[in-house]
Amino acid sequence: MVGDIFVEENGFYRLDCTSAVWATDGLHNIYHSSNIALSDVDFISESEENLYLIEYKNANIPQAANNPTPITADKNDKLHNKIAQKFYGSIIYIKMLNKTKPVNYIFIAEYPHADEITRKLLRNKIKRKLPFKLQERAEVISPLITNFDVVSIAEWNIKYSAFPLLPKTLSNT
Amino acid sequence: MALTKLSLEKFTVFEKLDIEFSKGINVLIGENGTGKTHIMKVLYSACQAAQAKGTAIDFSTKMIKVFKPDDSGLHRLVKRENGAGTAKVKVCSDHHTLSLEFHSRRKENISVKGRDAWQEEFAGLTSTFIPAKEILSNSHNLIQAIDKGNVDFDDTYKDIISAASVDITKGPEGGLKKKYLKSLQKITNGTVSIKNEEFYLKPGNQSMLEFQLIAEGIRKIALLWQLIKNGTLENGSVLFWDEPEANINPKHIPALVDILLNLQSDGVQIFIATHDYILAKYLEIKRTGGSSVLFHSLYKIENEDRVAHESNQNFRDLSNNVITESFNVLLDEIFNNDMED
Repeated sequence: MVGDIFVEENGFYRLDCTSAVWATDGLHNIYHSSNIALSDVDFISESEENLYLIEYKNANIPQAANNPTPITADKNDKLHNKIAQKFYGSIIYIKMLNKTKPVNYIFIAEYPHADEITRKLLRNKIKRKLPFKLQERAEVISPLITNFDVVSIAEWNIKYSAFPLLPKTLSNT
Repeated sequence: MALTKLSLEKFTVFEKLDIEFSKGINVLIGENGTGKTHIMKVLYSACQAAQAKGTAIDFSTKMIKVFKPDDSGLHRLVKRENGAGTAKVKVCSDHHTLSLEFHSRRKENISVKGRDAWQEEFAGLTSTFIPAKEILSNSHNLIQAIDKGNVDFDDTYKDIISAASVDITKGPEGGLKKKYLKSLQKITNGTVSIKNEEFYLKPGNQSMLEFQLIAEGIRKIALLWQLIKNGTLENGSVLFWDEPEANINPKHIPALVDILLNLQSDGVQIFIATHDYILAKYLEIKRTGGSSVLFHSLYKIENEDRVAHESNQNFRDLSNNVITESFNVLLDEIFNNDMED
């Protein structure tokens, strides 16, 4: 399978992965049809050099189907844990496909009054639940994750411009 | 009536600045030396010049008293550069402009234009400047000492003591005013009293506490209480507050922001200079549809000796935002070093 264009679950945005070596938005269905109780990310995209696990949450769009726990008021770490679990669930599939490129986990988050600072605070909190510390151990041969980031849609489109995330109405296809 | 625009040319750090204001809350941000306080002092001087109708105090005199240049020389406020220059200052309302021009070398060459119309428009205006440093705890005999030249404070300190000293029985306590006072009392745990030109905090039935025995942050909140109580901050007045956050526990900032937003809804125009993310962000998120809040960022142009500015209704959308930039550096350092935050 090569790249494709995916529509996020609310139907407002499209992630254009046509330039990807390989991409999918089907991990949820794959796990579901296999009766596997693992969490999954919304999209996976592979470039020549990297793999991107992409989780997308947008609390700004009207009637969003997946309005998350208010992102900045996540007192019991419910959202942080959920975002981390999605990584652990999804990385299993990547390992089963024997894909060995560096794994970047990106959380695209839009929520009211969001700014760079609150996104970075969120990023720093979630990072502690990901295996960065674990993979520093001397016996670890194959690290699971290279990079984690929390970005807005605008930041995603600048930093990861190979796979633009655009409103459906602005997309070419 | 409100201040709507300021134009500065060759004034202190400004080569040229044209900045438009909100009639509600204006939040000035920028690193040290970008002229935030200078902007507020110019505007305050213009307001005070209107208040001083019929007295000897005009715009230029107040500027000297507020900026305190050496030898009381206004010419020292001309932007320092090679050769002589003329500073131009224009403060505008919807209807009138008050202008001031002065030359760097011709000390006596000072021109004020538009004074009469300005004084007419702003007759009865009350303006208050709260400096970054709390001063009420040192108020005893301070005004007399300043007047005699025994101590050297700029007029913002003298004026705030005078404003806070106004008899607290003045002004009716409407519903909103009562609400503000109650909310501030929750923080200060008491009310302000004045005795023999000295300020005290009176917690409930306990005896009065000298202001200097109270934490500075609480003193600042108590000052705000006093200015609301005595009617200084009412519809049509202008409040300038330099670094409200200084020495105030961050947990009190949301309550402070509520009061500032309510004051602007009640017709008080507000100018704030801040370095604080929490204060700026709360002003952004707590404002409602009816609130008017405008953020102004002042920044130095690299390799050029000048300060530029941008204004935006959203704090988060300022492209030159020294407050978020500093936070970002810290958060990235925590992230990259895998430290606890």
